[in-house]
Formats: sequence, structure tokens, C-alpha cells
Amino acid sequence: MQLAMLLDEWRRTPAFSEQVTHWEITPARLARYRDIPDWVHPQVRAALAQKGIKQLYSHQQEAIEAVHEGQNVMVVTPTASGKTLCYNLPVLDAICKDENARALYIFPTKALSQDQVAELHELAGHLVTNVQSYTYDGDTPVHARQKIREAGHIVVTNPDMLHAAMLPHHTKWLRLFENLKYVVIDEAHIYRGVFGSHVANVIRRLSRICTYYGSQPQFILSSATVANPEELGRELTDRTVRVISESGAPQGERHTIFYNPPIVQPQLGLRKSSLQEARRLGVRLITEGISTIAFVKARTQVEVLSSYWKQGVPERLRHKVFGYRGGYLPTERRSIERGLRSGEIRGVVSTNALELGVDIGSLEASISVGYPGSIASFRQQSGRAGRRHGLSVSLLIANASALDQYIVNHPRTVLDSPPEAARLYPENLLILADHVKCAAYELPFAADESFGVETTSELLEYLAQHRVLHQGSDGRYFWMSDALPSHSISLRSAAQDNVVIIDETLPKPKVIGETDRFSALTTLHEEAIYLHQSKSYQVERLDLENGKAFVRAVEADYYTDAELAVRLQVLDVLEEASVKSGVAVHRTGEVMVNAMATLFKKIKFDTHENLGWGKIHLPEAELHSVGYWCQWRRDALPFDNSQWENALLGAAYALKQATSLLCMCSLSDVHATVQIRDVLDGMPTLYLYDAYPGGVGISERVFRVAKDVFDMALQMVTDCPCEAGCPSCIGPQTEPAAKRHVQDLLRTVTSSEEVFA
Amino acid sequence: MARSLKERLAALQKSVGRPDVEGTPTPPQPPVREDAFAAEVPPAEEHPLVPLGFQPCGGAGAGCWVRVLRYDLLTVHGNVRFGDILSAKLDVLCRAVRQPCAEAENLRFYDTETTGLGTGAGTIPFLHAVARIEGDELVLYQYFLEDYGGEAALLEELSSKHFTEGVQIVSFNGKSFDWPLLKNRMTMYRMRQPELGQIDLLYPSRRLWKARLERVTLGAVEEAVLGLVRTDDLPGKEAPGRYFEYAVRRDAELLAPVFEHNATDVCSLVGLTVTLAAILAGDLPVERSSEHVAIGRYYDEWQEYDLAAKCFVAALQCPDADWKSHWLYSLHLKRRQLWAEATRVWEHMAHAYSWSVQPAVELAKYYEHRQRDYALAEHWTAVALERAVVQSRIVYRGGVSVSPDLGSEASVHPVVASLRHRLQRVQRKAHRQGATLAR
Repeated sequence: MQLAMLLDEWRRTPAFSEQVTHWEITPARLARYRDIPDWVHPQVRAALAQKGIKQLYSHQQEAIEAVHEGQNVMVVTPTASGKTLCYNLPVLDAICKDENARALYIFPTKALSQDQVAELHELAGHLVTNVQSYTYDGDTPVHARQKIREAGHIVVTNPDMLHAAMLPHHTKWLRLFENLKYVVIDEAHIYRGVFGSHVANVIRRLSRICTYYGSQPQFILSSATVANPEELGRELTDRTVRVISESGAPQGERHTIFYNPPIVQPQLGLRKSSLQEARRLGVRLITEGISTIAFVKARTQVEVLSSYWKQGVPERLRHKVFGYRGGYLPTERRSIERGLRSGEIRGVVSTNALELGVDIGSLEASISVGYPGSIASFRQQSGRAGRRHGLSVSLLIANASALDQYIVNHPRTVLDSPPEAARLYPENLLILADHVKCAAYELPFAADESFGVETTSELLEYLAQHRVLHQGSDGRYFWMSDALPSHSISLRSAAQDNVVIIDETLPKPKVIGETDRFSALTTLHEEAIYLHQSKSYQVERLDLENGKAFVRAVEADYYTDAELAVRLQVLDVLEEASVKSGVAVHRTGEVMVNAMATLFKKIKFDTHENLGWGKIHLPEAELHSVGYWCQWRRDALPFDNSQWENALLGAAYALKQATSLLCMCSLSDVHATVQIRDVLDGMPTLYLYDAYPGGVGISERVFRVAKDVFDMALQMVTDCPCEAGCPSCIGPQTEPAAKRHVQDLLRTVTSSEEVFA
Repeated sequence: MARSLKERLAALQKSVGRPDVEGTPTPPQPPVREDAFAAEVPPAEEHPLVPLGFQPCGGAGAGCWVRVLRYDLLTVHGNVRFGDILSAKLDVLCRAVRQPCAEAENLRFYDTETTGLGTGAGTIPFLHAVARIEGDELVLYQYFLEDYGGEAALLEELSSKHFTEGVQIVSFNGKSFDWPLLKNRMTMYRMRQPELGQIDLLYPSRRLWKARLERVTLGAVEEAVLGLVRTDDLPGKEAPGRYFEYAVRRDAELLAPVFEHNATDVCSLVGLTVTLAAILAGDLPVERSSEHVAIGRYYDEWQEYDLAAKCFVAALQCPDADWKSHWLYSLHLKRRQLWAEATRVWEHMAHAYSWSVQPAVELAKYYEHRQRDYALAEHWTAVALERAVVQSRIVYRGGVSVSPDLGSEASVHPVVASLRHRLQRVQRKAHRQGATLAR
């Protein structure tokens, strides 16, 4: 059955169409073409002609003209709109005109670079000029490296390699750094949060070295749609970028459907699980021969949903359904990507790992199981279905959370508003200090040199006091340690070190995956069920010290879900502000959070019923971060202790969701906790804090826009059709008045003072 | 109220348990003012390095110092006299490291002490030692980088005075460490990098003494070959720490042992050059089988087969002659197609080392392809197969992977498989030959 017929059937089936809150059809769009500019080298022109390109899309022409004028450029157009040509063309043109010219391509992951290099090679292969382009990453053989350093016109690498292998050894890359004309940063939207903060600092180091060798490279960035491309470009490169966002590429007809699962228990407002709906709809799509990708939020869900699909589809399709997520080994992932490109694989369930531009070809249907937490993510996910031609559908299946319910009932907030800003915070002190060390290793610091921040000299003094740096008699700061600083600094997390997962069932124990330490507390504690490619493993032993978890294959009909107990302590108040009525105070500052995994629940597959629980014995984890908190006068509301507690908990639940929408971060980037009597003043307090050591700027932003955050939270709670609070608005509640109390509490801040009048 | 950046950073570092700031912090010092710099450098005669014999280099206050140590060529270092370098057969040594022939006067013995073991841009050689023959003396120049600011002057001095065209660098592991580091530094200052021949003694040393020494380091070779025993020597890895400490305390006593250590290293380079040249030229007898074999292999490479053969034969006559000595000799014979002697060695090995598979395989090949004696070929193949099966079982049982479900197919060692194949072929040939003869 074709997709058009299936959509038609769904439209006519009340059981489906009644659950649809929004069905949008974006008509096919024609291409807008422009001529190739005259200044383009004849060789490049000929190469394009051989590929059948006689004209450019409008955004491509705009981008290369801007580059030609010497501007730094950021191209922000949809997937498959031909972004790569926007940088390949100027780079190849430059090399044809001057064979000494060099370019550096930075891709966030190895997989991405492989795809793009193939495309680059194809184009460069049509040139008369012999353009040497090489991938320089961990897999590059040692004997090839020398040649790449000397002869590579285009060096393709990733931020990690740049950080650990290229910059610390810059003298060996003299030819590249002396002649560097272009730095290409693809998929720039990936560089947000902690990773982005690291990468921005790596770029600072790169710029520093280029300046030293006398080159002034131009930056060409490409990114998926974000709300703040200028800001992202500037924060990443410390330069002003010209943004090009108007796409001239064609697009096929697209259907966007917002689907809210039916209510199964009206009193509690309980809806059918989004995972079960994704199970049913996905099986139908795949069975009809429609290639389908589903995005889920947790790694566990990847395994759960893909095994549901495997059970549900006909025998002949069973081996064409896969799970895909971080934690699989690279070879396994590559083979799944290949299968998707070739069309061999018909169904895949993924975490956001496949949101990135990994080339998996174009699928016909995408299902977002639950709102992915950001508009940008949602667009990336739905963009996986349908590219230039033909019909495609993208389904959002809402889950019970307040955020999802808000969105499924206000589709315009997602479809019309610009996607979130990609925020990074290169000034995170811990990250900054790490990169100042690396930079000092690479080139000594002048006493008055500034590295991103004005307080660089203070940092240098600090490091000198700790004998990491040494100030020479000429005032410059030198690296003074026999260690290589970049070796102990990983860009992918602020807290280091992964835990590898070892399967002991096999005669030869084998590593089947890995995860970060913080997640290990809740996913790899002893007795946890770890799921991998739909197989269950039970964790037998977690050796946190050595970063190993030993698991054994088991037949289990349940999975586990762990809870964290959190203790929070304020270290320092950076800023504070009172609300108009004087009943509450907003503050932001540094906090110390101690988290301990306490309990886990065993949850049955299919029914999701609770089968029992167990204790977790793991040491406490400590997080030093930045927080926002709101503290109320006890007499602000006529509540008793338990009413305060319920109101605070409910408000925290709603505020967290509002924060993720307004401050453009994912739900997991920010944590919330409450105290009925805080340690200092004994007052009711609600805390939100960044989930990364040193903070990444989210809580500070909540502080600045606190009123908006409270407004949105209040609206979410008020708009929810439930009577007394439900998982869609204020979280699970038993107290009938809780919803009203939460609204009252939120109102004290949204300055709707008439309530108290 | 708000804490200072330093306090915040200190707390943050502590909370993530970073080890690199656990060292004892020095008490905060008032920032050094510009005009204080001049006063910081005391007049040269009072400088703590002066009593150790150092003089400023590249102008007073440049941060670069040099001291010159002169040794009479009659000086004995371990069991070598420095003067022996003048008569050493450097051509043989140069051949072994694939370098054009060198003159003793053109050698620059070079060694450095560095701030770390990496070869990145931030690892800095703070002490460069160059030794050379000048008239009837071995003269050792030690350049010490007291302050990073003096590095340009130091490098300039090195390249203009010592690393001039036509000289050759003698080092131990300098090819992949000291020299690339020096080039890094020169690149940093955009200086022209001298392209000089490298005689790296590590490679011939490794070939000669790999079997004898646990780790082929300059210290180990020195003790074993030059008969030199260092007393109170500073372990090389402590040098960076002392240097960093000096940077803060300006106490030259900290560095005195580093300078000594470095000077001894360079002197040993001279001694080792003399010794290696003598050994490779056959002028200095060696005792161990593995050494004879190593020399034999050099001659083999140079196609001086008779000399090579002598070495291999000498190797077999040593009390410590082992399986490998025999094996390498047999390969030498095989290459030269001296079959009678080769088969003799293989047969000896097959009997002396009753577990050994390879000699039996060689015999099988020889009888199958050279002699077309299929009966003997079958015999040796069967011997080899039997041994290979036993060996693969030992490996199999010793490993962790004892698993019943691994079928016999998976467990067949490739050597066993190929021997089975050989056996079948030989039997086929024997059968065919028998049939032909019968007809």
C-alpha cells in the first residue's frame, strides 16, 4: 500500500482522526535557481557541469558570494538542501586558484565526516588540479599522517582530534596553519551545551595558533535550523557571521500529524501510552512497506519499541527492523546506517543519535514518540522523513507529560515559532580553565592576553599559583608540567570517564556498550536490567572505580527504573531580585548537589506494572553547578506543611517543563528539587539547577526571565483539562487540592495580585 | 559576597576531584611589576648557576646559560677511551644506521633534558648537551634554558655553532624524540631547520642487546656494555620536576645532579659509538649467541655472506645458543641455497627441540619441492603436524576460552589446517609417483 492511501485511510478512520489535534500539509515546493557567479574558477565550473549542476540553488549562490566577499558565513537551511556545496565550492575554487591554500573541515562525528568526504571526493575528482583531501582521525594510520600534514589541501577531522592531536602538535602542521584559508564547521547546532562550550574553546585555541602562524582563516558554518544562528556562530568562532537561511531547494509534499493518544481513565486523565501507540502505528507502516523511523527519548525505550516492532511485523520483515542508539559499538552503527541508506532496513528505532546529519538516506515516515524536548530536535526528527521529492509523513505522538500535552494542544508553538536557540557557555569556569591549560601548552600566554574572557589574567595567576603554569621573567606564562593537558580532557562531557559494559555470558567476555558515569548510577547498578538490541542483560557487578559493569544475558520480562535522592546546598548567591508583592525572592548562584541512587523498580514489559523494587548501594555523586531558586515567605500562602510540599513539587514539575521550552534546553539539562524549610532560613524553596558541573547558563537564564517561565508554567497547569492535577501538568498527585495550590503558588510570582486582594 | 574567580575555581576543581591541582600551592605572591624584572636577574657573578661553571649566553639576562666541559681524549669512560673515536671504524656503524660515512670530527653527540615525554609543542628541552672532538679534547657544551624567554637565543647558538652543514648527529633515541622536539622549537621561532644526518644508536643497540636486556635504554646498555656503573645518579624522569622546582626556588643545587646526569649520558654516547663500531667491524669479540646472530644479520643484509656465516657459526658455538640462533642460521643457509648444511641444522633442531614445528616444516618443504622424496616429505609433514596439534592444544587449554560449544572446526589452528593440507598433497604425490614407478 502506498503512503498516500494509508494517510487517506487514517483520515477516514474515526479511531485515528479523532485523536489528531493537528494535521498540516505542506505542499511541494519548487526550486529557485541562480547562475554560478563569474568569478568561479573554470575547473570548478566544469566539475559541477559534469555532475549535472549548471545552476545553483539561491541559498548556495548567496552563501558563496558572501564568502567571496570575505565574510564568515553560516548556512541554516533544511536537511538535504545542498549545504555542503556552500563550502565545498569556495574551498575548491580557492585551491584551484592557489595550490598552497588549505582548508580544515570539522565534523562532530566520524560517521558524518565519512559521508561528506565521499561527496567532496566526487566533486574534486572532476578537477584538473590534484586536490588532496584526507580524513585525519583516530583511525588514520600512523604512516599516512606525515603525508597528510604536509600535502593535504583539505584536512577533515573532528573537534576531539583537533583538540588532542592537532593543536598540541601544531608545529608538525605548519603548512596547514600557515596557509589556512577556510575553516568549515558542519552541523554547528550540535555544538551546544557542554560539548559546544568545549568546542568554542577549541576554536579559540585554533584561532590563536593561526594568528601565531600569520593566517586569518574565514569560517563557513552550516547548521540545522536554530533560533539564534548569529549568536551560535559568534559564540563558536568569536566572529560575526552572516546568516543565510532562505532555502532555494525543492521539497516534496509533507504531512505533519499531531496525535494525542486516547484517554483510558477519565478521572485521572490517564492516556494510552505513547509507546504503545507508536508500537501499533509503526507496525502498520512497516507492514505496508513504508520505511519508518521512530525517535524515542531513552535508550531503554529503543530496545523496548524495536522488540515490539519485531514481534509485530510479518516474518519476512522481522530482520529488517533495528534499534540504534549511543552505546552500540561503532561498527554496529555503521552497518545499520548502510542498511538504511540502501533501503535494506525498513524500520529503525533511535534515540536522538540519528537526529544528526548521519546520512541514512530518506525515509517515508517518521514518528516522534513524545515531544523530543526542543523544537530544533523535533524538526530534525521529522526532517528524517522525506527529502527532495515525494510524499512523506511525520507523526508526533504526545505522551502524558505537561509539555507534550501543551504542545499537542498548541501545535502552533512548535510549528510556527522559531526553533530554540542553541546555547553554549564557553565561559564555564571549569571548561575555560581546562582549555587555558591546553592553550598554554601550545603557545605561552602573554601576561595581558585575553582568551575569551576579560579575567584571563586572573585565571593564569591561579594556574601559576598551583604550579600548572610558570610565569617567565618576560611576564609570559608557560606550561610547566610533564603531562600533556589535552590527554586528560574530554570534550564530550564536563565530568570525565565512561563506564564500559562487559558481557560475561560469552566464553570470551566482550564489551557491548558504554555509558557515562552519572547515568551508570541509575542504569548499571547491580540487578539493573540493561537492554541492548532487544536483549536483556542483568548487571552483576558495577566497578565504578575502574569504569566497568559486568552483565550477563538473562530472559527477563521486565526492565528496571531507578530513582535518585538529591541533597542541595547553596554555596554562593550571585544575584537576587524580589517579586513585586514582596512574598518571594528569586536568586541565582552556585550550588552543590549530592545525588544518590536509592531504589529501583522492576517494571513489566507490555503492561508496565510494577513488579517490585530493590535497593541500590552506590556511593554518592557530587555535582557543583549553577542554580536558580525561588524562596517564599511562609505566610505568602495559608498552607500547612503538606500543602506547601505538594504545591512546591507540582510547581517544580511544571516549571521544569516550562524552562525547557523557554530556555531552549532539553529536559535532562536541568534538574529540579524542593525544600519545605531550606537549610539557611527555614523558608519554602524551589530549586532548578544545571545538570553539568560548573553550569551551562540555563539557570542564570531562568533567573533573567523568571516571570515568563512562571507565566508559561501557570498556563500549562491552567489549560490542562484534568481536575486535580495529573502527570500532564503537575506530575502524579494524590491531594485533590494540589492543582489549585500549585496555581496559587505560581500566581504569587506572575504578579496576578488581584487573587490576594 | 560574590567569591573571587580563584575561589570558585578551586571549589569546582575540588568537587570534580581533579588531580592536577593537588600539588602544594605556593602562597600567593604580589604580582610582579614591570620594573621589577631588571632587578630580578642578579648580576652574573652572584647568579646561582655561576658556581656550577655556567656563563650567560646570548647576552646577560637573556635567560640562556652555557657551560663548557673539556675532557682530554685520554680520559677513560667505562671501558672506552674517548680518543678511540678517532680510530673507530665509523663506516660500519654508519652502514648499520643507513647513513653516509662520517668523520669523527663531524660528529655531534646530542642529548637533551625536557619538561616532559610528549613530543607536542609544549614539551620544551630545557637542557641541550652537544659534545664534539676539538683537537685533543672532547668538548661538551651544556646549554641551559633558565628562562623560557631565552630559548630563541639558545636555539640560534645551537644552530650557528654546532648544527652546521655537514655534521652528523649522534644520539640515543634522538631520531624520534630529541631531534623532532628541537625541530618543533625551531618551527615555533620560525627558524630554518638544519637537515642533518642522524646516527641513532638506539637501533643497533636494540638489535644487539634486545635478547640480553629487559629494556634497551642508554643506562642499561652503559652498564652492560660499557661497564659503567653510575653512583648517586638522578633518575632521568625526575629531571622535569627539579627544573620546575628551580623555576620557583632558584636553587642551583636542585639542578646540579641533572647537569651531571646529562653530561654522563653524552659521554656514554661517545663510548657507545666506539663500542658499536668495534663490535660491528668484528674487532671487539662478543660473547653471547644473540649478539653473534645480530651481527650476522647485519652482514646478511649487506650481502657479505661469508662474514655472516662466520657469525652464525660462532653463535652456535656459544653455550647460550638457543633455538633462535639455530633458526636464523638455517634461514641464512636457505637463502644461500646451501641445502646440505641447512638440512643438517633443521634435523638437529627437530631432534634437539622436540616441540619445534618450523624445522620439520622446512624439512618437509625441502624434501617435497627440492628432492621430490615424498616418503621423507610425508614423514616430516607428519612430524610437524603431530607437534602442531599438540601445541595448538596447549594454547587452547591455556587460554580462557574453554568452551564446549566451540566445534572442532573453529578450534583448528591455521598451522594445523595448512599442515593437514600439505600432508594430503604429499600423499597424493607419493601415490602418483608410486604408480608411475610401478608402470
